[in-house]
Amino acid sequence: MAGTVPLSRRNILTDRRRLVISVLGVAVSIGLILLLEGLWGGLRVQVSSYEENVGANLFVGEKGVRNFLGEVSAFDSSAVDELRRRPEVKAAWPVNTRFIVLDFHDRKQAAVLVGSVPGGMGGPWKIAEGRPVEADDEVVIDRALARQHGVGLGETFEILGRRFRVVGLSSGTRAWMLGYMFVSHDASAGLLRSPGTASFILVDSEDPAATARAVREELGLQPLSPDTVAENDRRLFAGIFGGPLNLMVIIAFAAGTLIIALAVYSMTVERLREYGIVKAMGARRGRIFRIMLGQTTALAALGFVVGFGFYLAASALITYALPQFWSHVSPAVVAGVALAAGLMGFIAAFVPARRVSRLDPASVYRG
Amino acid sequence: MDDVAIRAERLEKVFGEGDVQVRAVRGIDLEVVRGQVALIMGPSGSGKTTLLSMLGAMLRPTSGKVELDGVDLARLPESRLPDFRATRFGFVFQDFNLLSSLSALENVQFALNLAGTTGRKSRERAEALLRGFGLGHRLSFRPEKLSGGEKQRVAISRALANEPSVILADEPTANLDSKIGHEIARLLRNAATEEGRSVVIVSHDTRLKDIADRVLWLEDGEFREINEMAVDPVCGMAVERKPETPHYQYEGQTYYFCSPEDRDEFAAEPTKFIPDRG
Repeated sequence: MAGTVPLSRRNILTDRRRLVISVLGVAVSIGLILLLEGLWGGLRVQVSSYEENVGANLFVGEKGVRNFLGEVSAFDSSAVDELRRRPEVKAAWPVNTRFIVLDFHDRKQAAVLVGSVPGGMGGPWKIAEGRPVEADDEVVIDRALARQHGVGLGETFEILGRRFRVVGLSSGTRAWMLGYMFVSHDASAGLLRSPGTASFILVDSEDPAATARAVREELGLQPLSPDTVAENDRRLFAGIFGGPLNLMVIIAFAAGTLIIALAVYSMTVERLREYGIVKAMGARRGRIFRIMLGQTTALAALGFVVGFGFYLAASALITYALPQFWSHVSPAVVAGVALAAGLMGFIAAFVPARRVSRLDPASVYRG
Repeated sequence: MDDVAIRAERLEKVFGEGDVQVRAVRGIDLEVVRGQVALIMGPSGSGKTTLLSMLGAMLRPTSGKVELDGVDLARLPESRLPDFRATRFGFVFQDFNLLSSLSALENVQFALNLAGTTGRKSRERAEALLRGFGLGHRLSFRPEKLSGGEKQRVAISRALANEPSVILADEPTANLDSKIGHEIARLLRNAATEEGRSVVIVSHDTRLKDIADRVLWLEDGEFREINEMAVDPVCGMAVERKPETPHYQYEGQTYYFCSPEDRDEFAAEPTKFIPDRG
């Protein structure tokens, strides 16, 4: 309340040691929530990176296929030629995709193998080092994946029993814990033992709606917009990882709320006699609640600021040490977590306020 | 309208039921007019605190009424009592009971805030009161940095902040040395004489009789005739001069004590407690 003595602030600033411990506790919770949200945000960006960067405005898959990363799609690649004959189609390229597990220097590594025609659509969209694939025994791998396994340009390794030489390192080509590996379309057809087939046809069309109609009606295949594929991939990963991540966020939120509540409750119990005085002097229940709320929200606010610092530090550390994980929080998420911190403070205020509301003001006369 | 600030009629408080029932206050009648200091004395457990709590609208009486400026507090809904406490009463407590995280100035300002006075107005009023009590150089000090006398002066400033009709003081000179105790007593007397407040003091301290217009003896929840009183030479409290009170004969004189422990302490070295022999 404007122009009144800030009892809440004075109370929490009086015991500096408890303040620091409480703020650190809340900050850890807030930092953890931000980090989990960041990893979640990073996952959402990463799992749809292929659809958003490859340059196609239409994905054509086998009938019934909904996403790029989680389903096996295989159909006769002659459909590519039929699509190329359509006037509105500027480009149409076949790609093979498959989820694989490799032995990388005796360590297992999950990856998404993508086979595309050299010079066509479907290969890496950003080469950080080296060059794109030109021959059937060459591979471009994600740079973070290469760093993680100590693989450099010119080195060779086996993919499904065949040796490939690393000719390029791509960037921005992560699908969360998975990394993309790009080979030629022919090489992928050999590896997957599916010559003459494609998992998807990537189409650049001047009239995607007309092309999609033709794909559905004339070719009997499944046309999907990149946004739909991306959203379906995100949903797929949300279904796998969303539950545990959300559970961890809820636990961190509850822990933060509990820390604030316990900190202010213990401060309150220590000053119970003083709250008796405050009540004896004529403080109403609402005022007592505002005093508690002032303390809990101040702790939450300080915890948020320090927690955001924790998040930035932890995020940088994770990106450096574990490049397969990428953390990304949008301003909306930061605002949401700030609101959550405020909510923590609000909920936490009820515990000590309830204790004080039951206090008998006449207790001040009992020594 | 009469000049009575606070009036209690047939005031009764019963705690518990059946075998554990205690009648802490039994049908007390009391009137304190404006400008008057009433001192209520009595042994521990006599009902002084219960009476003070009822007079201060902190405890509802079992029966009877407490009228403040003509309003029966016992009939007011619970929700209206805090406002009455904030605006019509000033409280002075035994252990000063200042808010430890606030400065001297803020302690007084806080009382003003509770009564609705905020901002610069509350600051100026609080500052003027504290300066008036010689605490101008202690405004920003927290209670832990103040002496006992200074704390009690802050507490009296706080009690006076909202210009209350009645000041209720519980053992206001306990834990203070003789000189400071006299000073606090004088401040309370001035609040009555110069500002027209009614002051009700509950205390064991016989020194306060000097400033009281009326002295009432409360025992077993009832006001009684004040018997001849004596002062416990060890703790300075008032005690009744009667056979069951712990006492001790020394050089032909009988000394009375508030507890057997005080009597034994006196008996071990009487000259220590008799000023002109010490």
